[in-house]
Amino acid sequence: MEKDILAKRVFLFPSTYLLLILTIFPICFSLAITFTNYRLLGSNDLEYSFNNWSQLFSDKNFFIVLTNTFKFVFIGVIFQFSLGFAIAQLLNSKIKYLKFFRITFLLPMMMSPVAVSYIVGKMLFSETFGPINDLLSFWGLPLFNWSLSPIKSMALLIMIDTWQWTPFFILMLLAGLQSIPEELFEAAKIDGASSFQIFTQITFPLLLPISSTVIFVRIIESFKVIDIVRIVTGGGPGNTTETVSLYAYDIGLKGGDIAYASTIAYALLIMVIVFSIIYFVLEKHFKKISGNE
Amino acid sequence: MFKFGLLLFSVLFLIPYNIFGDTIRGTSGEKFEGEKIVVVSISGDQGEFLKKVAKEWENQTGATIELNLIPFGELQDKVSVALSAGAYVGDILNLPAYMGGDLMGNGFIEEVPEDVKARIHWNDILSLYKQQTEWGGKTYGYPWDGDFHSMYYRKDIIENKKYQNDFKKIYGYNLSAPKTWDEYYDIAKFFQENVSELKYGSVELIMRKNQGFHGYISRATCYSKMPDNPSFFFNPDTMDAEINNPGFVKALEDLKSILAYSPPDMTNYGWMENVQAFVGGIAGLDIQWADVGPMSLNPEMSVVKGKVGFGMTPGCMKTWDARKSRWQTFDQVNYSPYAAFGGWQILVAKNAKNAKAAIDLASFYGSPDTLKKASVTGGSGVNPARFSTISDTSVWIDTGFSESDAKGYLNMVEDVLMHPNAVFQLRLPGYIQYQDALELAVSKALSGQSSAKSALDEAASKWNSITNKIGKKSQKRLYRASVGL
Amino acid sequence: MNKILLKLNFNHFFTYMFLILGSIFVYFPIYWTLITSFKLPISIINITYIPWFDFQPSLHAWKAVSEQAGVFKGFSNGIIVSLVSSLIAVILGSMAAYGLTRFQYKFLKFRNHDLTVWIISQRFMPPIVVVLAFLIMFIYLGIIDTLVGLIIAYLGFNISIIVWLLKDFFKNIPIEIEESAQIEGASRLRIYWSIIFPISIPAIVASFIICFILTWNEFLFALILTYQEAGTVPLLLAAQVTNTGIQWWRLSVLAIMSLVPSIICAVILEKYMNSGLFSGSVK
Repeated sequence: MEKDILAKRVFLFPSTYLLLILTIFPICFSLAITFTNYRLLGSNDLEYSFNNWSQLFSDKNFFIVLTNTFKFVFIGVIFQFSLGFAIAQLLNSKIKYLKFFRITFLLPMMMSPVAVSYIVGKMLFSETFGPINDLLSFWGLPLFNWSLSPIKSMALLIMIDTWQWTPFFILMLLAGLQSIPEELFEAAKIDGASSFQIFTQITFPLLLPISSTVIFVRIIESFKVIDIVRIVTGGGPGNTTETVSLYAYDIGLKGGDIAYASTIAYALLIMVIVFSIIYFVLEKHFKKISGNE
Repeated sequence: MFKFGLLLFSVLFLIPYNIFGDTIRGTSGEKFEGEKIVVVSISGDQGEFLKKVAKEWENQTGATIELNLIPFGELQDKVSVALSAGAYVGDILNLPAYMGGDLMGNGFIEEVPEDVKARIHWNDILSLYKQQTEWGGKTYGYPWDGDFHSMYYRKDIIENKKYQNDFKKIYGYNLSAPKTWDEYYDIAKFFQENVSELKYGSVELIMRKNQGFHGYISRATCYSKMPDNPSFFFNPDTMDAEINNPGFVKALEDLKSILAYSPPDMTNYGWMENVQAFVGGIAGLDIQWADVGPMSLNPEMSVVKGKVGFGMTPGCMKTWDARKSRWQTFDQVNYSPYAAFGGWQILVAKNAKNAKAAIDLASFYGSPDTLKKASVTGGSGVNPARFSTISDTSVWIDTGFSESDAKGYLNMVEDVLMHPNAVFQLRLPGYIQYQDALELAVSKALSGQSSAKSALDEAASKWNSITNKIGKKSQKRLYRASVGL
Repeated sequence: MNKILLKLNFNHFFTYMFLILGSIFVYFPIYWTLITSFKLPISIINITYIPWFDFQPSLHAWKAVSEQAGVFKGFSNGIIVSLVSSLIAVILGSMAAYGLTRFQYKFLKFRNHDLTVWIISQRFMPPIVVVLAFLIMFIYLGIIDTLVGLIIAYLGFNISIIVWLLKDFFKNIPIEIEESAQIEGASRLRIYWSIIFPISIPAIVASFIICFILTWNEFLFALILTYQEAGTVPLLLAAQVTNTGIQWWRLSVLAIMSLVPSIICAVILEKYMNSGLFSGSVK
């Protein structure tokens, strides 16, 4: 038994302690800073107050940035999920060259967001050197001039994010589809169910647990978006595509106001925590349901 | 009279140059065998130039220079963050002058020793830039680059008889280099609509997070800078931001109106795209730094060699007087050139690993000879900062300017740098936050997200809260000192 | 009979169409980057599409990058940091995942489920929240701008990913396999390393690959926690933005080079898409 207790500890504790140091300390530190007026290159006498938090609640730009982030996250995830689901269905059929297609659709997720932002955002969609606009004009279609349009800029960012992260949905949903026993489909076909009925009554409900899992995971991960926005639009035009992470980064690391930046980052963290709680509750709920079946 | 003084100045310096050969390069003559000096600068030609031009120094002292180049968008962040946390990032830092407020004032930079000042002829530095090497009465920066915005125009088109006739017919006055922003607008419109060689009228710098602050202020200066009022950005008594007064608002509205006669993706133009648009023959007017001069001579990108006219940025006939809260009309044009960006400086970090060698290298960089070479090298990022550089037309002619063009170019530089109504680069602590707030306002107004007035109101209240956060009393004191009050 | 055959082929036809269309979307950006890396500046300003037809390919960008200082360092840093960090994460994380499925833990009031939740939620942490604290911590410890520092910084996220991926997998390994070894008196560590680990190789390799590629591509920590010595590949890409504009051709070369590990990972990972790694979370 003694040996067992030691073994127990050896298995779990290294990871736990490492994570403790890497997360608890920074979180406490960042929170502490939000109550000061610490600046980069500033003097070291700190004043303590709630100023940063009151500033946050009256900061118009913060709410603009928050809305932008929500738009990006939710519209993006809806697209990624729908597209991912469709492609997963296609990859689940018995066609040749499956391996080639699976590698193909796995690829974007393996690329660096930085590379993708430069390649797709700045090169492909460049209004002066980019092939997309060139091809559009060649085919007589309206040009996609995005740098002055808030809606088009946001659309471009969502397109890039979708290109990159749809594979994640494909990966997970395909695994889910493959775990549905063939017999279910065959039984339904024998009963004369149409494809539509098969989808709505078998596929979709059975995939609900994993669908909600991936959707939530992606939502929470999308909240931290900064690379794509920073490189492609810089938050513009105006600040219509600026996201919370980018806002915090510019205020803190560029402008030097670390204290206020931490406050913004903390607001983001609180949102992430809220959504994480929803995620874990959902997961528990689905585990209960599948446990009861 | 002034030109004579300039001549005298340079003659007086020519004598010591010839006797003490080494003083041209400004070094102490000491050897630093095997030592490594890390120079921090921006990635690209400017950074690479710092190593190229110092090959002599490396050979003479036996030390090696290692470049640590950071993209412009991250340079300030990385250096602030590193220095703030006490980390070593380099021995020599090549940084914008406006970081002076935060760096020099808080003990991160090594002072310039008195004997070095004598060695590199400190008085040769133009007073505009000398002031920026100082903070709180002490000298911290080595001169490198002198920055200001001026206007560039297609001389060949303006002097063309046919176009002159057309212009007179449409607009009713003679076509010449624009003197006011209204004329600038007319000429840009004319260039775009009636001149076949050109695609667009004007190109300016308006990109958010990439010089947009400077492009806008270059316009705004004459709208709100009264010749007898040294202050411009702030009210010198209350330290309230002035940037939303009617002068600034009108300037922003006029900037918006010129977008119709500018390249449609100009909001994404950085410094290089702007230069390329002008020297590539696409736009006929440009408001930019003085690099356009040398770059117009580069056959790889320029089609306008010999066709460029140089002038001060346009002025205004009406200026808002903030003290009296009313518009003041002038009989003569009220010019107010803007020393945009303040220039790049060479700074020696306080936590440098090889301070002695670093100071030696810095004095090499800041010496008259090196700076002369740098000013005529396109891509070095260096614009004239010394009297000796601008009085020596031969150097400029050697790079390809015609004699009259060289004279014209240097005259313009002189006019701007000695102008009594110039606006200097803002150098307060927290400058970057002020810059960001104003750039955001400009971006919002130009993209239509807000009206000019509400965007500037928002920026002004942001400025005031930044001032309060950093400390109104100290900011006011520093601002008043910087404008000579 | 013929009608059914026709229907089948019709379906397959559309399936192929969509998949091919999707593949074009995936490969066009990569193709574009590849040809751009062979273009001269003049061929970039005039938009050209097909090598030898529209433009003359040239190796000038590739040459320039091979001579550029810091490229080799950037790549080797990237490989070392990603490999080591993922390796450590796999070892520690798989043991943690195993432990959480086999033992009962109690820490204050927290039980297995809570601990699992906490570990898995670490991947959700927005880097911007912790990056400044990391910076100060690292400077204090003297590991700023070092490979060791980066490896440690990525461990939090990596361990969390490993635990998330392996937890359900381990749960599905029948416990009988271990029970016989336990009866014979083998220690748990031995059981883990000699029995469980070997049969989990597919899942472990897959999760290692995922960790590796996420670390290889990470930008924010690399940006803020390094200055000169320990920069990784995404920083090399970002450094192509100079004061003279974006060096498109060099950027393309670097992007293609940084794609190589991505492609290798995609190929390896594809093999394991059926490993039951991901379906674990479905059940």
